Amino acid sequence: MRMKQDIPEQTLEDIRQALYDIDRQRLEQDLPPEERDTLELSAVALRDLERLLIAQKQKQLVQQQEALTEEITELARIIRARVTRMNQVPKAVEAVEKVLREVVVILKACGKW
Amino acid sequence: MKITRKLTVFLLLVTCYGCAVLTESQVKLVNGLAVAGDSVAAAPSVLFKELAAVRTERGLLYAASLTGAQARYQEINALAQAVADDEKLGPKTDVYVTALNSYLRALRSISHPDRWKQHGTRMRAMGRNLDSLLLTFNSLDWLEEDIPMGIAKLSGKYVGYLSESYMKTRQAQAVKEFVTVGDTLVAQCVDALVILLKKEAVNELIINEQEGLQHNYLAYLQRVENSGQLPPLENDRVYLQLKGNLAAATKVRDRCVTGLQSLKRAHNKLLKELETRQTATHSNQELIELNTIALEVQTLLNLLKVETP
Repeated sequence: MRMKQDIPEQTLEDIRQALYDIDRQRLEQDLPPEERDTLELSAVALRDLERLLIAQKQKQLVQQQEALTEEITELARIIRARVTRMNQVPKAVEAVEKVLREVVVILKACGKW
Repeated sequence: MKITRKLTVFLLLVTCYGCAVLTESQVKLVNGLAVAGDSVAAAPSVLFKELAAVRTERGLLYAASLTGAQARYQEINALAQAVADDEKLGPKTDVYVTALNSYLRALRSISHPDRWKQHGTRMRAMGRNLDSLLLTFNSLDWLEEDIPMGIAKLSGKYVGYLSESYMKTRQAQAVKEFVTVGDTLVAQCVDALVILLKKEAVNELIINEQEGLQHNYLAYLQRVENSGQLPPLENDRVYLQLKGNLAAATKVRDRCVTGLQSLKRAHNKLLKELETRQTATHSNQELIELNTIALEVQTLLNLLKVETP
């Protein structure tokens, strides 16, 4: 975006209308090339303004979303932590189980020896 | 053995007395919420992505309507910058779907039967392994008398059952606790999202793309006409596709508003079920309604070829 300065109080509808008018003029068949170039550059400037307004509107909407989802994201984090805690006991038992299996293998080896 | 049995019966009574566990319908409801949540919360993300895609395409049509090198160069460069900005914005528009789904998936994970089943499975396996150890030890004849067999396996079964019962109760308590807190948050989140989707600014963005697409295509057609050529059929097809996509994205927005409200009701129903300790398995009207809407939204998303985050 090239137009970073203050945006006048224009709505997207205003810009659309202005663009429509300028397009109608620049697309006339018997327009001198210099005049057409000037009108085209004006149209491009209006398109920039349109993009800037769209970006501002989208940014505002996204910021509102971010602020509203903070608490629920935190709750999800707490639940996941609880799930991890709930899984700790079976993991510990699994570790003991593995040790037992290893001991059986050792005892079997002792028996053969 | 008698003492062990008495102790087990006592512990079973203590564990099970007055304890609520998650019923089949409650687990089903939580799963349904998580699955449907993927689709119904996707609206802002899908809408922003589709609007950006249409904006890029109509921008190209508009650039093609410019004859001056300078004007066309500027327009194309500005378009490239806008595409890059939209790509940066993309993940941020997923914030709602990510937050709601993160909560619903975490809820599904904590209410999954694996949370209690794995305790029993591990305990029983340990009992079996301990018995196997004793069998191997006895076979070595290191002691004069063999160590009695089968106790460990039986104990494993008892302890497994007890720990399963205990974990089922703990799970139900945890789910109830989180759903109670989550219900207000889900309601707030859904209400805010519905307000956001119905905002004038969102309507303005949609209308701007609908009308902008028409204007830009008209400008392109006039330029082609002025040059004495016929526009390629492929561009007409692209125009139709873009119009269809915009209509579908708008429909996704509208259906998601209904879907989100349904999600809120289904979550609240879950809370009520947990509070009233319903034990019977019954179908949930709220879940059926939510699933129907989620399916409709998913069909629209497939039409747009948009993947849910």
